Amino acid sequence: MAEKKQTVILQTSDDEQFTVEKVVAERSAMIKSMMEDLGDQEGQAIPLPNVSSSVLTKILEYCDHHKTEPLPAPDANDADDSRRKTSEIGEWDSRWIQVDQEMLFEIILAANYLDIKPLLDVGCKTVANMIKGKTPEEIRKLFNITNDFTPEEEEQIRKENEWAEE
Amino acid sequence: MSTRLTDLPNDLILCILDLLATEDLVQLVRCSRLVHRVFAPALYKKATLPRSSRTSQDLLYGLDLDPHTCPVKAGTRGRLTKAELLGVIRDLKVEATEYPLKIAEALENHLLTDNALNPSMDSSFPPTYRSAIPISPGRSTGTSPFSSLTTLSLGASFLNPIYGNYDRPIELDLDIQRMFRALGQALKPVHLCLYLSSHMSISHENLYGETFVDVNLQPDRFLGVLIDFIAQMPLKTLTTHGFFLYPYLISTHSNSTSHSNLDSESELKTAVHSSLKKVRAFLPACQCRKAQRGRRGLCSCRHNLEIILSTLFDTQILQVHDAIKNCTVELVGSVLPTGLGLHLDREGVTLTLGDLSWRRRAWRKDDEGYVVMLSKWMKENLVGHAIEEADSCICCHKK
Repeated sequence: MAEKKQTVILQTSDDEQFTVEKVVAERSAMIKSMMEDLGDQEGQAIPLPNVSSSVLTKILEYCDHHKTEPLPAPDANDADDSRRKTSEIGEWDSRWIQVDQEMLFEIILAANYLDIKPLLDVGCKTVANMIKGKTPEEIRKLFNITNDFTPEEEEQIRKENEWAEE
Repeated sequence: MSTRLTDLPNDLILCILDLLATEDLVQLVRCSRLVHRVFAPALYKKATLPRSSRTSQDLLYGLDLDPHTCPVKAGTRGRLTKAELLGVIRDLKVEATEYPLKIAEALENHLLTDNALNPSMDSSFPPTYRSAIPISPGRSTGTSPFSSLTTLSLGASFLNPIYGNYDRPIELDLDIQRMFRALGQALKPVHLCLYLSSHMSISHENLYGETFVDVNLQPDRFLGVLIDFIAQMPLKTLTTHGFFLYPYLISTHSNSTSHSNLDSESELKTAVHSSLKKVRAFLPACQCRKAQRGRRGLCSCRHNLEIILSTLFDTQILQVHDAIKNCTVELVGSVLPTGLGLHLDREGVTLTLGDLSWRRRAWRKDDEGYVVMLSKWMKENLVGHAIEEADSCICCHKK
């Protein structure tokens, strides 16, 4: 007989409940820590007041795909620094994160709140890759930024920062 | 309302910034006032003054331009001013001396409001910049230019031409002095490094005909200016690359009494501020293989070490010099001998340390006590090791 999978209930900001495999939910260091604090309280939902159901659905997809990978060490910030600083994103991750901008920023915020470091890396790398190699006009268009500089002021800023250009 | 790039919290903005190259950041900050406010400070954390002679605009460009003269659309907040951005700089490298006067004038006119350097400051200069950008003698807070400065590196391309031309025409020398005074008053780092390339030794042979950089034997105007400059800074660490500054650093220097920030009588005797906790010296590469032997067959690196230790120990009185008694001294590229001792013969007493020795004339009854004290100080405060074992410089990240 197959072993019964342990599950946990997550409740989103819009009061939806998700029954999730424990191993999937534990991709979030925050949820893992809450489960450890709460102990075995079967049937009790873990509230996630900063995450909507649409965002959690997307994030659970990510967590499920990566559930067999080793969890990052709690003090992995420095050790993983070089890995994080490369702009490369895995093939599955880059397909998975092809979402609209609003969802992208919501995923980044949720990954930060839920403390899912690899997901946060994917989100930040995606934003950085969107900016790379673009002109100010292209960046404005991409992120829907209104140019409130006068032409004189923009030229002044260009000159002020010229020292930084190689 | 949907989340935008600029709505992300600071720690997430920093994560993204970490992944962006400088050229991308330069483009990004030109997008809007809000984006400029959020992202421009990251451009200024590490800066070079000026980066190179071909750069048409240097770091200080824009300091004298009033951002309020540019028309601002109704309802928008102003962008960060150049003064505020310069206030973000933590790590500064000074490279190239093509424009010493330009640097001095920019600092004097726009930063130093007490007119200490330039009492005849032109009254036609916009008063905004004489009053709004104060630089206090000590470390200031807030957003005044360079108020966040932590590390300062004076690179080889800055110092070498000055040292190599210390006998240059007097007018140019005055410009250099003026620049150093302006830099010294405007910049208050807690970590300083000075880099002098060893190729400078080619034209400066020391007294024994050895070819290591021995600034200590060149008591010229360059050292005087440099030491006056250092004396103005409340340093915690001082690092030298390619030379060792100590003999002059811990001696009384002619202009020291003019420094108002030296606040006790003992500090007037030395350029070392009481805040100094660590001195690191990356010594010139050893020439032992093609040894040009000097006195007593010591190769140049050993003789260099002898001079350095002689100063630290103050071998005339066999006492660790007051100025560095509480400092850690790290000599990189020099393995320290062991076995400090005294030898007495008919000519007097000699202090020895391995193959190094310092002769004194007369025996004193408390000499042995001094040796015990020196041994203790060496054990606790003096480190010597190979360059491979040393950490990189905190200021320039070089070895």
